[in-house]
Amino acid sequence: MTSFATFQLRGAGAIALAYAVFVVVMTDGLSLGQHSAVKLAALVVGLVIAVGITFALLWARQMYQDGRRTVADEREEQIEAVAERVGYRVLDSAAFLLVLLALTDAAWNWLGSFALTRTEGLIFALVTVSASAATSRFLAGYIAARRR
Amino acid sequence: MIRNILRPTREARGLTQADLAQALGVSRQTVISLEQGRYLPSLELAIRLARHFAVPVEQLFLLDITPDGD
Repeated sequence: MTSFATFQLRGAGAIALAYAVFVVVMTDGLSLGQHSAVKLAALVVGLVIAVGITFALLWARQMYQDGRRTVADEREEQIEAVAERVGYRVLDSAAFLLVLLALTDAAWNWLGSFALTRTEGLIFALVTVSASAATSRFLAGYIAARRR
Repeated sequence: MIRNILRPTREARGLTQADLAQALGVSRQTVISLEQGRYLPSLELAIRLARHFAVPVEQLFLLDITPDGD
């Protein structure tokens, strides 16, 4: 496996790990717990910073291993473009799904503690959408890096 | 379909994939993918490759034309 493919796979792993931490902190068994706005903000910002630092370290390591370059080459940029496109498609689809969830929940109130009318529910849904898109993006990058 | 003769051209000059990658400012994997025909370079990279080997672009990259002319 190339270092660029490894970077993509580790990126997906980092997102999945961060999301797993988020789910564990947010949920209480199978329901969404109550959290203060400060705790929610600290959790989201903390995870974003942790993921950002992880990516920076992974990228620097990948570049160092691959000839001490400082920028991506054109093949890697093409792979990134494919991955970004997949990520945006997943983001679009997930946003559409979120609208459907909100509408059906308004009609039948079936989301329970995950209801989007709760701050926790809304944050949970948005982070889930974002994590899904980011994980898909990196997995698509991994697959494209293996093929090209 | 476009194929290339990058590998024999590189080997004839005694260059490694890493040497060529460094000279072109790309990753070694890009050179590998180019040689295996899995990646088509941009026009810019194709011209830079041709200049590096001091040969015309169409000598490095060959367009396979079917009997239908496609």
